[in-house]
Amino acid sequence: MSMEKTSARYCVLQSHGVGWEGSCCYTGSIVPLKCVFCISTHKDCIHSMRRHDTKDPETATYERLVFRNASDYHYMKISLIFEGGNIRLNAAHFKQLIISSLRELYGEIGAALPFDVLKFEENTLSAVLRVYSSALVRLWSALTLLGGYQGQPCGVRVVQVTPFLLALSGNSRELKLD
Amino acid sequence: MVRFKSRYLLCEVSFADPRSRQCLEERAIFSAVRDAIARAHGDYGAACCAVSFAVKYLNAYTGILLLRCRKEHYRLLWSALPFIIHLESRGQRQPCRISSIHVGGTIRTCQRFLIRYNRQQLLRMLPGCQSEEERASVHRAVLSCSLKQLEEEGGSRDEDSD
Repeated sequence: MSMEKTSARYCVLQSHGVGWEGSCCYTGSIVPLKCVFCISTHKDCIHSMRRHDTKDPETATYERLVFRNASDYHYMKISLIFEGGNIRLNAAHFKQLIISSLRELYGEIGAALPFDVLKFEENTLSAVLRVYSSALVRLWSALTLLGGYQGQPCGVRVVQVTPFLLALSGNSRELKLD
Repeated sequence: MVRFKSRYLLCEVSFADPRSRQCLEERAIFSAVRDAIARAHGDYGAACCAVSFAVKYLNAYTGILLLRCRKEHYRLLWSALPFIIHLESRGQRQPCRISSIHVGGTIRTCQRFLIRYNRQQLLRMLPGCQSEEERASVHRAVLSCSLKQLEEEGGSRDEDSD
């Protein structure tokens, strides 16, 4: 959605003869005025505050694009934390663990949530997941309520959530300033 | 003004063999639907739909069923209905199918729809009549189901619908 920069001048209605026209307090020209409250140029409007839209002659028009949804996907960097012992997992087990937690919380339809494990490191048990933005809340809540794996209690720590993959390359918490 | 708004799902239960229709019970339907929601939508779905879920009306002869649930979660209930394969009653499992025919905001709108739907079904049965008596009885049934009586009494009480 592109918007041109316009500014509004508020002119209090001056008794200017017939019609709802007033003089612009900026340029001085006679312009039709619109009511602030009911946006009408009607004669029967009882409100007394009027304005007209005028373009600033000095600034050049520029385009400003505003997006409501930043991106289709959201990326989560998480790490799996076990209470003790050395548990070995590979990427398939990890994904199965998340799907089982989704199935417990959201049923069969929730277990079919499409998400991807982009990266999984077996040493640190940390992973990068990708999920559609509309399904982020469901996945995050299922990760929160993850109980355990094969009888061992475990938890998920969510390190970073971002709609842009580039943001995962740097993390200000792990920054070393020397 | 805060009020709990609900959605009423008008459904039709169809069985594999027509004789088992008489064994329809409200409790069997209630537990079957609740288990289906828990399976299809998990703990979240079971909790959402369990708050205000009720079987409001069940007609064993025609297999018409009216379910009620909250307005925010009626889609969960609606999407879990196709997953019901059989109903348990008195220790017997009967394969069945539940299909929804109407969603309404109040029982009255569902009732109005049901009357129109029944009339259409009766008219559909007319060509398949074998004898004159059947034809006459179907004619009488079609003429007797009318909306006029409902509209007389229900003209001023339609503020329930959302």
